[in-house]
Amino acid sequence: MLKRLSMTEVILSTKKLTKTFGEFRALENLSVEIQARKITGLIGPNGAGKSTLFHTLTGILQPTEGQVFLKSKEITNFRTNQLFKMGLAFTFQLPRPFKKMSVLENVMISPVNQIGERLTGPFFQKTEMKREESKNRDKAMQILEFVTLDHLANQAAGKISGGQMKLLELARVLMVNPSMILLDEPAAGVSPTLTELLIEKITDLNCQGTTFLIIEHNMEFIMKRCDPVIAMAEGKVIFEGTPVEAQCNPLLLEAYLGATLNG
Amino acid sequence: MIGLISYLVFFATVSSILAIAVLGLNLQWGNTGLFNGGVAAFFGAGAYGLILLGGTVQADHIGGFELFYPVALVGGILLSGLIALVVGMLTIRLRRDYLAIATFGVAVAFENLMRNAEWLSGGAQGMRGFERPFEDSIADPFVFNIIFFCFSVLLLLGVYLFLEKLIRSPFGRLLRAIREDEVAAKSLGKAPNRVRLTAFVVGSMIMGLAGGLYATFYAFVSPQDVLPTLTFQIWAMLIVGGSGNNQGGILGAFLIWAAWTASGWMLSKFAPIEAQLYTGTLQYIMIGMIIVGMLLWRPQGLLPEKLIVSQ
Ligand SMILES: Nc1ncnc2c1ncn2[C@@H]1O[C@H](COP(=O)(O)OP(=O)(O)OP(=O)(O)O)[C@@H](O)[C@H]1O
Ligand SMILES: [Mg+2]
Repeated sequence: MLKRLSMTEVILSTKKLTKTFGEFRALENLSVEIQARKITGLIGPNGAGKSTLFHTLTGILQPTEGQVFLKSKEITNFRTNQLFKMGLAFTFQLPRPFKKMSVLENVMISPVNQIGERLTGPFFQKTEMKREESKNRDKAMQILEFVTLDHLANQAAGKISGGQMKLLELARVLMVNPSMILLDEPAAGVSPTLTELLIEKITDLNCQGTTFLIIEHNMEFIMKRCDPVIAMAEGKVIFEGTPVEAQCNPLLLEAYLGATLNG
Repeated sequence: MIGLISYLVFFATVSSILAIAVLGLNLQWGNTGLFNGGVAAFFGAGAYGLILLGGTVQADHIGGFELFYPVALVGGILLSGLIALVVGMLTIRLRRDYLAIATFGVAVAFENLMRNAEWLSGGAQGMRGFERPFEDSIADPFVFNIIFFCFSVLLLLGVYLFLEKLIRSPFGRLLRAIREDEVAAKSLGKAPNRVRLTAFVVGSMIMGLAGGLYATFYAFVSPQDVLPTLTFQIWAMLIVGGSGNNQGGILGAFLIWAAWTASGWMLSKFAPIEAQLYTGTLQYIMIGMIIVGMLLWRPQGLLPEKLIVSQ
């Protein structure tokens, strides 16, 4: 056990992270370490604070107290866009597509510092811009094909189904090559066959070195691919371990049951 | 016959100039979702800037630098851009509705300043003494007007092509993404504040160009030209024509300006004398009803925004 720990490298961690909404403490003194190059599963009952943790990690929310680190660099209060450029990408639990834009445009927007994103680009760097655009278009189409949305490339992103929107969010993130991807319930509303594909792709990217932290209620997903598993309840980490350990941990069962009974 | 043609040329010139301002607003609102409630101020800065820099010496106010026309025109445009930059930097971080209120306030302040600071702007009398380029060498005013009309249309076309190129580029894609969902744009590494500021300043400079042309055409500008009415008209043009669609904006400019002038003419011709006192008010009500009707039955405008712009 000790040996295993010494071999791992922490990519993302928090120290005594607290997030309050008024009186309510959504995260309570939460310290957690995410290992690099692994697929970590984050589970816990509704309202446990999982999404809130994601949002404080990625600069969408500012923590009330505590610190966040990317490798050894403190990133507490860093801006979301800055973190994205540093290789930390994430998706929202409730998809946020750019509704009045095409699905393809939604994906093509992802790469950072595009030449044509500057005011002068379209006028003074036309050829470079065109080259970059066609490269991005090809890559975006490939990714859309992978998430089975290629037939919707020219549809308005606001008009596709909720499950398809989840896939679109994933596609946007896959357009760049982040070193770490946080996914908030990527399989919610996605068909079982597609979920299989998704798991495959995640495994694939993981083999190439991408770290994943995945919130998921789909236990099959968690048990099959995630290791380690972290469980949260009421803003605290209540369990860390392997999926097998998670399965027979009484604390976990209690947390889920408690949440069900209270809710 | 020549009277009718000359009136049509006059009408089309003013419409083209206003259409330029509508295109500026379309960049801000249609593409970026920035609510500019003070179009008149940015239009006015271009107009006053031009006459201040390009006009002849006047006894009662500063200016009269008699600069070369294009320089004076660009000077007015830069003045609009500068005001937009300051307003934008102060408000762009704030929420959308604050920008609306702030720009509205700027327009009120601008009009007040122009009305009262006589040393600067000639006060309520406005600024005269601007010599239109080539007016001396082209003796026939009819010919001059036709040439000026062509000049305005050419600039309208230039602005149109510039904006079309812009919104079809990744820059335009970014603007629309920020309009649609700023948080999502941030989550993809974008910096909305900077991009919004750029769009706000460029849009305002385009309004400044329109103002400069307007002042050139009349060789005169006064506080009457920068009333909130103008902001209202430009907005009506964009909403009716189709927010997010440049062609729609131009169409809206011609239609609303036609409705405005036609209603003014009809009221003066057929309405009882007592009603004529309220011509402006009645026109306001009419345009207001057109806007409400549009928002109810065709909120996307006559020529709606296209779905696929930049891919
Ligand atoms: N912006 C907010 N203001 C007030 N309370 C909030 C806010 N965001 C989250 N909360 C509360 O914080 C708690 C944790 O919410 P969070 O979304 O993190 O839960 P979760 O673990 O992701 O749950 P789920 O599995 O349902 O997505 C909930 O009780 C929620 O109501
Ligand atoms: Mg959640």
